[in-house]
Amino acid sequence: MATVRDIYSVKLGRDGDWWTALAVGPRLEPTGHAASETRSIAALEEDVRNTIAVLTDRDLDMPHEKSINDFDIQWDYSGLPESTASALADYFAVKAERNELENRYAASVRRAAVELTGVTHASYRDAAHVLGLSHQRVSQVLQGK
Amino acid sequence: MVRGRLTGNQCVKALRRAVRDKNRAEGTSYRVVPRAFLGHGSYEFWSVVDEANHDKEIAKGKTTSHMGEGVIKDFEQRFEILFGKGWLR
Repeated sequence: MATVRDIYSVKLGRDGDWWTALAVGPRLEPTGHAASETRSIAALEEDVRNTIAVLTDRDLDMPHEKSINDFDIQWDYSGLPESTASALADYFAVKAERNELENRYAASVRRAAVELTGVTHASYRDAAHVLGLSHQRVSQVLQGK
Repeated sequence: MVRGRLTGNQCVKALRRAVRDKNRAEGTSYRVVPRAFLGHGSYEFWSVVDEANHDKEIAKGKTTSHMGEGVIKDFEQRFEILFGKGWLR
């Protein structure tokens, strides 16, 4: 049975030259949250993970590396200026749609190539012509690449 | 003291002072200790432990080299269980 991992929502913010993070989630009593700050966004996730691991005593129960990866983080950009938060929300929504479309595209190309070459016995070159792909690509698709 | 202008050292000093005052007033035997931590970063964790109860940890908080508003607020609130609201100000 899969283990349910704790999820922490982490709100990103700005404080002068510093990036701030406020994590909210399970086992962060008594405040219910944990605050972090770093000079770069890139360094912030490790800082947040360390803070959560210590404040929830995970580091006492398991090796350090495991303790900081024992939970999931969901970034919340609503603490940034409204125009930035809105742009990021749009970006992540479109990115998710693109990923979904890429998955559907890969499945549909394979299905069409299999049908053309397997059911109608079209050559790779003819299948490529129909699909608008190179015959090498059709070959790759059929090999599951 | 003005919020957002406290350094990490000032926060820890205030914590030690609050513990000392509580011990004197209530006969408790608390003390402040650095919380051991294997990670690395420009921050430190601090615990208040009870000597009378095998150094059981009562509360803990974190200081950073910057001590922004959020970190100070979190530090203060994490020890309110011992000293009440606004103990750091």
